[in-house]
Amino acid sequence: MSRRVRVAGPVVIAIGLVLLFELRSTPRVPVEDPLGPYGLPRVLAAGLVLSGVAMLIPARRPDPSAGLETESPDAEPNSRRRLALSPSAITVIAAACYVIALNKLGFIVATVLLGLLLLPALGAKSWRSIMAIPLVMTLVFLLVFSVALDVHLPTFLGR
Amino acid sequence: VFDQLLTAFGAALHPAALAFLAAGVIAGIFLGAMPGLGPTMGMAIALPFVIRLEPEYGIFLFTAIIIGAGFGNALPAVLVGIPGTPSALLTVEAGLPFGRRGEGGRALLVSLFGATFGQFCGVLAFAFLVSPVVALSSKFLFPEFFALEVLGMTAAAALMGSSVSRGMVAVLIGCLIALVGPDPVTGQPRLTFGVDALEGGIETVPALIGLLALREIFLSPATPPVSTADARRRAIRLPRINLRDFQESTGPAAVGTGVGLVIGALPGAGPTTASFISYRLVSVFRRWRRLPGQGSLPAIAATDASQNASGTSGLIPTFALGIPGDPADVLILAALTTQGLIVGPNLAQSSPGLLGVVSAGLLISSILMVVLGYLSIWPSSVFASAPQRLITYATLVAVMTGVYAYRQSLVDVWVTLGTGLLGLAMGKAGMPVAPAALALVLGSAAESDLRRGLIMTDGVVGFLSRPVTLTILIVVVLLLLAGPALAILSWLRGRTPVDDESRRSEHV
Repeated sequence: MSRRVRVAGPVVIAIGLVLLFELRSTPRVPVEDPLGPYGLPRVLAAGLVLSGVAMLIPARRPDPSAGLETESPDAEPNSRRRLALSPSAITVIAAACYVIALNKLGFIVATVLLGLLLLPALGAKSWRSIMAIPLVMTLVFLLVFSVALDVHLPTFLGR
Repeated sequence: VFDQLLTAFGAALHPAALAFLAAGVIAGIFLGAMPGLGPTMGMAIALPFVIRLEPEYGIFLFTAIIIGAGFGNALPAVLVGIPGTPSALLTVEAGLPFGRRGEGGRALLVSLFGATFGQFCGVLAFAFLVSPVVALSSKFLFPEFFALEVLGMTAAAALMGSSVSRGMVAVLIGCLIALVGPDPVTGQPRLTFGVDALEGGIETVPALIGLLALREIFLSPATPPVSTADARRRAIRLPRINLRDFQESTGPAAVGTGVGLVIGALPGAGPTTASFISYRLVSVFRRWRRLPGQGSLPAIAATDASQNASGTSGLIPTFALGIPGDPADVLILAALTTQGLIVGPNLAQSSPGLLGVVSAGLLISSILMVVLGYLSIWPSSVFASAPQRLITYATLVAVMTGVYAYRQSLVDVWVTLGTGLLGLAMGKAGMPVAPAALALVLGSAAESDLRRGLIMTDGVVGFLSRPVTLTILIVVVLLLLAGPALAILSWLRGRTPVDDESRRSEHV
């Protein structure tokens, strides 16, 4: 059984069970159809549990191709994933911090800070680029969104 | 008919319309040529703005992006060996040797020829088939639409992933996200976990952008770096047209187009599947078989024609039935539905001229692509060697700001971040994201059609006694059973499907 199936199968089952627990009591609302408001969500959550189980079952028989993993067109190739792990994690953390900073520090400060931290973290070496790119990008996006499209972007401390 | 054609071309040749078409083709070539971007991400970024435009202009922009990217993805494939989008994977195989020999321009001209061939045929198929399919679908009621929506999602699950079970998990996740919030019949909130912000449901546009665009941004720093010097060494001036290359490529382009037209109309199959089948078909002909490391012009023409024909014919089920063929079509559907346009049979009544205008726009986009595609060959080496970290930073800001601009709400930005992380986790677990995106768009409508259909037909027996509904649902069951049945057969023969997959990869 591949590691990702060992992890994904139980996670999918757990999500399905949590959803079924959330849908345990039927609301008292007048309905005309046999399903009602909770019918389809319950069927889908149960389907999630069964699919999670189905993901785990094939691994119980001897698998001559153990270690070989088929790639879906969507899944990134192995070589790329090995290379990607660290920069992808950096980008995820940067994105989460950016959303928090947008609310607190506003668009201009958050966007400049994102560039100043993300570009060197992803391997930029030239300090001239690291300083110039965030400033130019922020200005361009500010012109596009705030001036051309009249979007009220978040401001510093809500002022 | 002549009057309708005149009106359609009049609307598509309006200066504003032409500007959107040209901008879409240029953006598409650029997005296709930038490894790590792609048309879906570009369309997702543009979605919050497109829904503010006139519906025709939004459709022009999106369809022109698809058309431009259909050729743009070949530029980095031939010049630096990185496919601009997954469907150009085999263009690398067939075209990179030309780039290495300094004949990249020749290969790109054949790619442009194949792409244009496929697109023109796809546009003709759209123009002639979309109205009959719309007319056919006007006979459908809630049960038939439910069955079609389930077919679209199941086909996506069966064809887009490495296993049906993982594809179905993706569909179920997408549906469950779509069902959060008020029930379409009674308004009773579900799956809110007591969170007030979820009472109104999860907004589709930010969730889609997270699944389709933000996830790609998270993965984009991993795109292999391209040496600028290497790309510039392979830089080429505007290439000369060689008629013999076109003659050699016409047959394969026709084969690829035929495959693409059929595959594109199947929900979930998409251009990548079409290009793989075309490449395989072309390689069985002895005189087209490539020599190792030599590349193959016929193979380039076949794969590029098939992916472009598939991209255009995929618009037929999107417009006629509301069943998108691939993630880019999902975004077109999202743009149309957000603007209040109901695709399918009602489209002909609510916007009678729209389909003709779309056909005219597609045709003009294809013509623009010939010129703009040719002109883009020379500067393409610069696109292909742009630093990935710069693209990651710019697209991250563009996505987050674009989502915020959609309703000027930070909740939407959190939704995008959440679904982006979900998409990343799904990718790590080997689950395809596109079926989840499709289910996110279709899930709510499917529930509504199912429940209204059950009321209309007085229960399950009446629902299933409708012949078209029953036939489509039988196809759904067969699709679900086909994968496990093949796996059992292969296992009984003493080999696993993984072996088949490995062999296919080796062949490619």
